Amino acid sequence: MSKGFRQSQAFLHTWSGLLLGWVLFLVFIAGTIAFYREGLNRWMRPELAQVQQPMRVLAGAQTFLARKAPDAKSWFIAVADAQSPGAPVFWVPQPKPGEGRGRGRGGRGRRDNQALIGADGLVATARETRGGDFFYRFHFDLHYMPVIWARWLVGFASMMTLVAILSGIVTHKKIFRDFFTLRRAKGQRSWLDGHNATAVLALPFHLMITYTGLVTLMALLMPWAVVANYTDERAMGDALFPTMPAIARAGRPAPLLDLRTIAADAERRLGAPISSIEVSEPGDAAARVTVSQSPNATLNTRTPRLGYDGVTGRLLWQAPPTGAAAETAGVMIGLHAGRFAGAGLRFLYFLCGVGGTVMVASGMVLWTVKRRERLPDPQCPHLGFRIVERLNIAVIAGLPLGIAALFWANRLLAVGMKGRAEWEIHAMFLAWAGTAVLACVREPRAAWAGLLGATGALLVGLPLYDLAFTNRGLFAALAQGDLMLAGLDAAMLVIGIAFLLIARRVARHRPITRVMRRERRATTPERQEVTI
Amino acid sequence: MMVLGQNHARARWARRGDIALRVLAAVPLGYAASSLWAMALARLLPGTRSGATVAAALVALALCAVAAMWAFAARSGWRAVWTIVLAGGVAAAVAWLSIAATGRA
Amino acid sequence: MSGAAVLVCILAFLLFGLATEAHHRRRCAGPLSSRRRRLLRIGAWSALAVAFVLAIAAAGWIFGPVLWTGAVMAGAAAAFLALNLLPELSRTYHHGSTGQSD
Repeated sequence: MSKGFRQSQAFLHTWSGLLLGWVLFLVFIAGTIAFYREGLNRWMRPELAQVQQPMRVLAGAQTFLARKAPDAKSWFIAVADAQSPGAPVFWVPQPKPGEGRGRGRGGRGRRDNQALIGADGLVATARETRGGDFFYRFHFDLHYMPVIWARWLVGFASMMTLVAILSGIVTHKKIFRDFFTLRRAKGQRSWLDGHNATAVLALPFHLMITYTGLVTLMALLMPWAVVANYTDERAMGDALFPTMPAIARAGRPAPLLDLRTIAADAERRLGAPISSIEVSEPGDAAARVTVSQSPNATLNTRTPRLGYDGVTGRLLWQAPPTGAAAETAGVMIGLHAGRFAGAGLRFLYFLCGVGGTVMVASGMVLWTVKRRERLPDPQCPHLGFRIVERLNIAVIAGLPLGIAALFWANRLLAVGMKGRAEWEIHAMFLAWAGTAVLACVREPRAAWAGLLGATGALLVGLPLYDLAFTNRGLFAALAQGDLMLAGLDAAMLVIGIAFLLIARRVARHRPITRVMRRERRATTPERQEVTI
Repeated sequence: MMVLGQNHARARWARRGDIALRVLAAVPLGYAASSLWAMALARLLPGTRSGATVAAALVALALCAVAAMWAFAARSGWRAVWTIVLAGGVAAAVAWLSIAATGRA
Repeated sequence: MSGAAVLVCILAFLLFGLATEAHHRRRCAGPLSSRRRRLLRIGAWSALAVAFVLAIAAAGWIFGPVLWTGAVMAGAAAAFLALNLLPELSRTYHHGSTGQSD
């Protein structure tokens, strides 16, 4: 590899990483948190008890839906397991006469068509919150904007990340020697080593997560393959996501079989747990029940499905295999989401995600550290440098503080408050906006130290609040055998302490060049001017 | 002195132009070429129609990244542009011929 | 078995690390000849292959590669931390050996 090639790739690496690095940081941090989305779904609803008997919850869901929406067009039940807060259910009412077929499922986001069935089989009364699912959605749908724009932006940023990773690899002349090198307290060199270490250490993960992330958005970003082969994209959808043929409503009422029977049969046939049940035309003679296997049990997220007669419980349909390419895509999405991961592997995913977040952050800080050492006049950096420096503070230090504020809003906002779930998220953005203002007005080092320290304090405070004011504090959770909740509290404590330590280090940091520059300015008061 | 200053300025703008061409080659042109290759591969790859479609899209995502790397590795900005346009053109021809011959589902 | 895979990966990356100039100088007696470097690297790659076999044996052909990838990353991290942060043992041995080599 010639020097020119390596240089060109180094240039590409810097700019593809920097230009949307702040978007990338957001995606990485939200995505990393989202690995624990189910745990956070529970952590953010401390009123809820842990699910001990999933079948009891399922029975309760069926009872609830039969009472609440007996004539609905379809019911959807997500089967609970020990990690979920309960069984979310929603239903689609019959279309009114004259009304069109509507957009697919329709009404999923509406308040009045959904509920959460708790561990005891009854409708759960917990504080209204988006829970951990918010972080999952946030990392590709962002917020306050149409989801298509957000997904294009995130998709574009992800492609730039892939380019940054690949160009970062080829630009490396001695990848092994560089990997093991760690020079401490040497300014730009130390930042470079830290960036290299976090990047190369989890390189398999970073490559995988970035490419598979693009695959999850493939339908939006690269629809042209479908256009080349199909005039109607629904034909492609039917091939990839086969569904049981729908039949019209019979008009004759017939009691729906106990879903637990069907669930047990499905689990026996599949040899794996199930995760969702869809009932079409419940209470009618033509009722059909589609059961999907849980993605927690296999690598492929597109799991096998079974179709049953809702009245007799007879198996009517099995999803046909979809072929190697579709399997591959499904496995890639499964690797990205990591839903198959048990506790140990999930923690490894989380650590790699943290590594990725640190990789992005250290890369952007490295850019300013490197440029600062080359500034002709450190007191008056050029506009680009100032923008990057301030954005770094606002995003790298500001967003974590916003997230901590979201958790605090989850604890402190009044339970009966209207629009509570949205206000938790507004709280995050309000806090983040405040940090952005701070990042612009205060001197950088003070802003960094202050924001990182505040984040640390807020995070450390959360498990303390839980101990004092909820009955799911660290010790109570351990006593109940609830390792997830205890682990989340412990993680917040540890991460908070880490932030505090980093803040202290930043506050004490005295760059060596500062003294030298002051002396240099004292001896050459006039700026050199080029005479023409 | 004046000439030197002008030469410096000209070199700076030439460099900016070169980078601009490479960015053009990488982002809109690279994406277009990769999309055209997605179409060509969807027509050419063996197996079921839906399988070939998925496989083509998977490959095309990787091609986007490769196109960007090539755009900056090429010896000049112009070279980056015409090579990527050529690559896209070949794919477009292949896809068009295939669709004209056997049609779509 | 999966624990064994991680341990073997740690060994592999320790060998890779010791095949680099700076770490070899800090922790091993004698210079890093190209022969020694080649042996260390062959040993490291062999260890990675052994770890792959252990991972497949532990988790099957589908989850095995996932486990191996995790073990590789964990091993690299552990070796990186050990080589950079653990203090060198027996300084006197090093001083003695460099005196004797001439």
